[in-house]
Amino acid sequence: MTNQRVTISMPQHLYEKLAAQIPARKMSSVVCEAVERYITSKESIPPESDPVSNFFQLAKKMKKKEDITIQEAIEKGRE
Amino acid sequence: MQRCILDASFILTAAFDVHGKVAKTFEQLFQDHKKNQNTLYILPHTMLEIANGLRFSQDNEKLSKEMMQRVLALPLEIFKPSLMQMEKAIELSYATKTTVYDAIYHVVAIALDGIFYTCDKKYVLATKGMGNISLIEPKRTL
Repeated sequence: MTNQRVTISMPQHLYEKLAAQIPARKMSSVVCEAVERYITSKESIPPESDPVSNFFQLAKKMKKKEDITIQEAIEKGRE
Repeated sequence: MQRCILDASFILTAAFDVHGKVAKTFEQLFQDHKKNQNTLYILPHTMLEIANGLRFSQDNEKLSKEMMQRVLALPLEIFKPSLMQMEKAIELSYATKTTVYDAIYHVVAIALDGIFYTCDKKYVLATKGMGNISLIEPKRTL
């Protein structure tokens, strides 16, 4: 397998956490794994359908609720 | 071009009341958006309200996280209220005995000469007579 060499930028705080946990030689494989996870998660949403269809498609799998219950859920913990 | 300000109650009720009036209004707004007939705004705290609404109305954590992703993918613009608008929201919330969380949507709608879309009947009743607001009541299916 051929590799493409890339240069990436990330916020300092994120890099510091990464560097504290991962040895420099393993940095590429960790970033590859994170990118692969990201791509996989995006692929679970059909790319051909639009965001509104995706929204309603998932909504069908979720529990129907009364509007009062939804309102209470939104406000829960505010007081 | 119409400016629409959507709150968490409108977005979540559209999701959980798929065949009702709220979902239809929601779909229509996004269809109009595709035709460049409106701009759909939310506020900086709307996503937190939606996340909390999902957390306390749905048992399935995985589905809630997926739904959050899909809400984030919607073509919504985040409007950052100005200091003057925040002050107006405080003023309005005192006058109507409502929360700033709710009043700020209304203040932004007034400032943009737009419409605040909500399913929060309590808020609409408290601000009775004020314009720039549209109460979308769900079809009762339960």
